[in-house]
Amino acid sequence: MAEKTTDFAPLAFPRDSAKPVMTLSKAGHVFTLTMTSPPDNRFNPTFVKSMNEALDIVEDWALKSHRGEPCALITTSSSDKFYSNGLDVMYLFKNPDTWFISDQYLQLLKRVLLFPVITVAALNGHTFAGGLLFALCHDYRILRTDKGLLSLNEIDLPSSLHPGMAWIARAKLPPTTVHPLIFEPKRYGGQAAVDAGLVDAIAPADQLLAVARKWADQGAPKVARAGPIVSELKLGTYADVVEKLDIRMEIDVRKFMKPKM
Amino acid sequence: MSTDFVPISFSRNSAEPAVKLAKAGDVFTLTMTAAPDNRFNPTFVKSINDALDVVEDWALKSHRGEPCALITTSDSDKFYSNGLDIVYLFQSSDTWFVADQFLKLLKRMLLFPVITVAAVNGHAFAGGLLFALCHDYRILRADKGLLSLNEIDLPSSLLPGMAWIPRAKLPPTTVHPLIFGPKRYGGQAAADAGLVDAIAPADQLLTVANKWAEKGAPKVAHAGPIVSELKKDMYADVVAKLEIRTEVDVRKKMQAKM
Repeated sequence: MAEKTTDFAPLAFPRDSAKPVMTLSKAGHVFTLTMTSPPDNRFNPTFVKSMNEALDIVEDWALKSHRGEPCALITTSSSDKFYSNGLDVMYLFKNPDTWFISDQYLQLLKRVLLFPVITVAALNGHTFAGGLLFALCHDYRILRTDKGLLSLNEIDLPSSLHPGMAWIARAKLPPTTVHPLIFEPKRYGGQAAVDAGLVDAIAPADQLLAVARKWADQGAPKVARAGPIVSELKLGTYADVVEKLDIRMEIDVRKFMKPKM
Repeated sequence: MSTDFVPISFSRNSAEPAVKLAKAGDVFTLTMTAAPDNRFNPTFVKSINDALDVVEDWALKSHRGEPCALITTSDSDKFYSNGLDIVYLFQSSDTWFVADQFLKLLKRMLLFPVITVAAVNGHAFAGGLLFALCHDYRILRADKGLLSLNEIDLPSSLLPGMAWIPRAKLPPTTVHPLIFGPKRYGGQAAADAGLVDAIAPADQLLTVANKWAEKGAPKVAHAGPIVSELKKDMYADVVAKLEIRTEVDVRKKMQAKM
């Protein structure tokens, strides 16, 4: 099947930065957002801002400039070891921003959960804590067969979970997965992650993006036909999660987390 | 037991019954007969409610303390129900039908005082699948009949109560593909996905449905109105969302293909 010649030049974020933390490219109807923030794609203000800028472009494409055309989004990582290790706790320790989690990170989770195109997370490495919650906010998850574990390891940090964070797991996962995931905390990889309902499929490393692409291609026509109704359906389906993600709480990581260096 | 109930038809108009209600043993069977595909419009909803009134009165009043259960099915070989009557909604300006009649009927089924079994003998799409999900149990024809929530392709959003029924009744790993695929499930796949409780060949569908109904029939005999109360406790969140009144103007929201 011949693909349209690329109508979108790849971009890096932050724009004009020597060390981009994210790139956005497009092939056919599918955008791919690649997290490139070493070592492990942790969420801090620059990372969140860059991601929002990339998402702005996709959203504008799908709902405005190319409205009525198929469009989908894959997210993945350039690291061989990590998809994402969650919140940048070291950054938050050094630069206390007690509203970062509520106003930036959780709002980003909400944005992805309600995103107007079908989203596929190509999990090419470990996906822990806030990184797993980010992945769970996608429509679908494809996991690398041979490598990469999924875990919600807050209990071991130790850290509690903001209501919205806990509710993503409750809404998206079978109850028999939720409890061990949070309270052991159980780590899932390969076929076990599929069986537990954490991911939709697994694929060998060299086929991961191709498989993610298949799922994205299948979902791309949705926004073409339904436009803003895709987001409306997501809001209707996950209204309880959104409500909890919108709860604003001041969180000082120095008070309740003791990260190991 | 000899039949103690004479079958009744509830008319769509003077000539065409929309719903038939019959009884054998302790089990009522409500057969949807609104050709071609049992779509929900005011007359159909009224007919179903009239039939449900008869069952409810029997179980809680006139034959209180006796076993009673309800099977619903369709006389169409192809469809259980295809959901809302979009043509009607387009042609009328009845913007409160969905909230005040359809959702109210879903709530009634969800909380019905006797055990209910949907014998899904054909396709159950959109509102028809939501109706089936509001039953206690679903038996699906093994060889034919697909289940789908195809709102995303119409395209149409789901009212809060409509979205909450799958959230409450189905595994999360089924909910998302069902709504956003939209994935269609049939046969054993529907059972594996938690959409139905069992499958049966076409010629055994009603027999199997009857087995499930007979097992549930003693509940209301023993528990009376507590069956409904339990349903309300278990699905309080779904009920709360079904009660949200939203005006729906399909002419504005949908580009339905006739």
